[in-house]
Amino acid sequence: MELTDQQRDALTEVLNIATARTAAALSELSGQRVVLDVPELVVYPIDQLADALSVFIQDDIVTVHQIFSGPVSGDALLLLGYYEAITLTDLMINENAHSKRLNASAREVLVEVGNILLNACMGIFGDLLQVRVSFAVPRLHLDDLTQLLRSLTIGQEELQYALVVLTTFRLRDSEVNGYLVIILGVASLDHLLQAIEQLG
Amino acid sequence: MAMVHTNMTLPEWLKDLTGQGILITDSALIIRSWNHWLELHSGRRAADVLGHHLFDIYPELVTRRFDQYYQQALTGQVVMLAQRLHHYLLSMPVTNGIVTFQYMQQSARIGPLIEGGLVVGTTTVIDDVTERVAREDELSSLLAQAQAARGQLTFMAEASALLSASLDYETTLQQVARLMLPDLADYCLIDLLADDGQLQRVAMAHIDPTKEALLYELERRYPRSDRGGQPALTAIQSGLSVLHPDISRNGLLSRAQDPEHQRMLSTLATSAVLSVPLLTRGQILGAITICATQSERYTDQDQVLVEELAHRAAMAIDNARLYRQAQAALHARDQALTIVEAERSKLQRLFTQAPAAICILEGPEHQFAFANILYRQIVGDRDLIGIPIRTALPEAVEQGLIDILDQVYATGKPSIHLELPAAINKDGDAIAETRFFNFIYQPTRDANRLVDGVLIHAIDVTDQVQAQRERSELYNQAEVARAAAERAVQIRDQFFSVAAHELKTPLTSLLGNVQLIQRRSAREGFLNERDQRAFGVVVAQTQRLYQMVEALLDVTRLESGHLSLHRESLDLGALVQRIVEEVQPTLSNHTLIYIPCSTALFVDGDALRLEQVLQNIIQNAVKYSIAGGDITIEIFLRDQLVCVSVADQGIGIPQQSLSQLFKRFYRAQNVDDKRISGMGIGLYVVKEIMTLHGGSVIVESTEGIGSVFTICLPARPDTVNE
Repeated sequence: MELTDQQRDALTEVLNIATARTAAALSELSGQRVVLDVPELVVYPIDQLADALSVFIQDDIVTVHQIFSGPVSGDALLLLGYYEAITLTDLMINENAHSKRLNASAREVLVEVGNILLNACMGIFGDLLQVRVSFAVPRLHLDDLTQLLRSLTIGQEELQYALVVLTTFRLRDSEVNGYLVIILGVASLDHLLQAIEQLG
Repeated sequence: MAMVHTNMTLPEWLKDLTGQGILITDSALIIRSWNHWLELHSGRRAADVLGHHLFDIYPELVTRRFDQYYQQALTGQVVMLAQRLHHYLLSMPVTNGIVTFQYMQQSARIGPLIEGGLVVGTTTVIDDVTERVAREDELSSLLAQAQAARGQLTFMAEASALLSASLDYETTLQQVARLMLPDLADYCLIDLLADDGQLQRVAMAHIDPTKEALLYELERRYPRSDRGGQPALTAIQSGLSVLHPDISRNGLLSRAQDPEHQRMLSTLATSAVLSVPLLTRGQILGAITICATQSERYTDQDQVLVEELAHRAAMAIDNARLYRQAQAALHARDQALTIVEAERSKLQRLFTQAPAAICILEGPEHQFAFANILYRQIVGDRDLIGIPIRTALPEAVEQGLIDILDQVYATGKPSIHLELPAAINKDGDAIAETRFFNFIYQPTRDANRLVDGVLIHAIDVTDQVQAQRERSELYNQAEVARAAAERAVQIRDQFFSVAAHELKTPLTSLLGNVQLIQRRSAREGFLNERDQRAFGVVVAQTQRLYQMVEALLDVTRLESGHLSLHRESLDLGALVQRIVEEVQPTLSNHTLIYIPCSTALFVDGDALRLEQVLQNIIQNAVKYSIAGGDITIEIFLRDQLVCVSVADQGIGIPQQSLSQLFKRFYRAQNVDDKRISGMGIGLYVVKEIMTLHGGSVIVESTEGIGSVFTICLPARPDTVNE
């Protein structure tokens, strides 16, 4: 499945605003400047997604996963390396302790951070596109990515393609990189594109 | 969320669930449900809050910016609140300014209340995580301790690995100093005690590279000054760790030497110092000093850790130093061995190439330990080394060599044998060749001065011996020849003697008779003038012959010692005058000029023999001045000697002939034999007669100008006294 250049530009524009809001939220939370790359839009066949993403994160991976449903439905993922997740957590709670693992409290913090970032990003649907989407409670996964992606696609026949919004954010002073991934089915993608065209 | 209920209140059974707090508002955020848990844990009864706006009851939700989350919830979003970030959602009420406890540890979830696909309000679920937090804190404290312990272990393991990895401890110590950072120190200094007892800074490290440069600058500008180096000195002197947990800034700066020093120390801002001695085998090698800018930084645990590290570092340094010493010793030994080997090979070369045959025999069996080229040549190309001489050179046994060797070995005294013949089987065949050697048997001694062998040093003198033999043979031949010659001379002299005697007898008779006839004829006149003249010739020639025979007889008498003098007091001047007067008439071309002495000069002499001498000299002067001229004869007294000199103007005598002049049968080289006759015995007789008189004859001559013969005789005492 290919996007036309026009579609791609429009989508990129919208997601640019969305990720900018995410970065603003993250900046507010961490008290640090956040550097954000221009999001990259790629449409992958779902079975190639794991391989594509594993290029970016080699370590153990921590994923904050939030399912959204409505006219546009799909999965929003915040991907962080395990140690980067710990660094991010330490940063948030302003403690000097250099943790080596994620305990329950730390996981809660990570969920809240991921939740805020994903909300900031997905809020674009409601705010800008007037598409009503409801969110499930965010979850933290410590599985490896392949496992997670497999669980996403089980029983979802129409989830043949995934729109991957790949954006890297870097906390300026602490070398934390993360990736934002939004996975949409073909139908959702159509809805999204329609909404964007109406906006345009 | 499956909490759909038309009147937004919870069923009673759900309210009584004590596990969570559940708060429900409508879309205007008016509290619609407040469960039992909330009543218990918020300090507010449901009756007091239901129907009130949430933010009216909890205004700090707005100030803490939680209101936005409720707005998001109303758009359908779910917001999770983490205890770590917010600690609590709902606080306890303040009554009369007294708060029993402000809040419990809570995490919460704010989400939409959805009915028929529409958001109709919000739900807030609150969890009490106090226990969990307490547990986690405890766990994390335990973890931190475990981690610290593990960190120390890791640190120690790293340090140990570093220390054992290399023997270059100067570099390693620098790495150890760096290892201290940042966990244990802001900066670390390592000093070692040098041989002169001074501290030597071997490693410096600071977490801040610019300040590390400062440390080096300090060391360069203020060497051995006090930069927290004092604790190191104390630690080294006492052998105990020194901890200054809290150093005041003023105390620190008071030690500065000048404002610049002060500025530098101030920049380092040292607040805590721990100095630990490097101790091993009861020996203090130096100290590790760690410094921190934060006071009270160091705990007992740190001290134990650094002490352990210091101990290991000290062991490593000690090992490295021992290793270096061992290496140095090994190196020195190798060098010494190299020199010894070089010397040995030089010596061996010398021995091998020496122009003498050298061999060394070891032990009582005289086994060959060394034999040089010449020695091998002498004994033929045979296997020698390690073989007893008895076996290697069987011929040595017969030659008595073994006995000599045994004796030298037993007594330790060298033995020298000159020109010893040795039958040498040079080519290894059956033919032995005799050669001569000067053998020196020198005992060799081991380190304890005990004889352990014999060095044979043999110089082949065969050629010299042969030459010597030839020389003595030649000498013998010469002796024989000389004897033969002497014998021939003897025979000749004998012959002369016999011949002269035998000739003189008939001559005397002949001369007597012709003189008788001549006198009778003169008296009686029976010969005419012509016959008289011929007869005169016969008489003259007979007289000459007689004189010659007489001269020969003189010679033989002199040779045999039979010439005797009849000495008496004699006026030599009178004798000379008489001879001059007798000779002058017989001369036609020559004039004799006599210069007499004013006094009579007496000598003890044989008048006849002295006349013979004077006659001889004057006749010689006449004979060798063919052209004629004056012959000056002078008598004088000089140094108690009476001298007569005869000077002619003749041919003179060549210089080289002067020394031979008085030998018998010698005639000077410039004499023409055909014109001037003579036998060469006159001057010989002159000299012998003068010698018999205790006098002498000397000659001075210049060839072509003339000669002066002077005879000298001791004057009689009465002459001298006069």
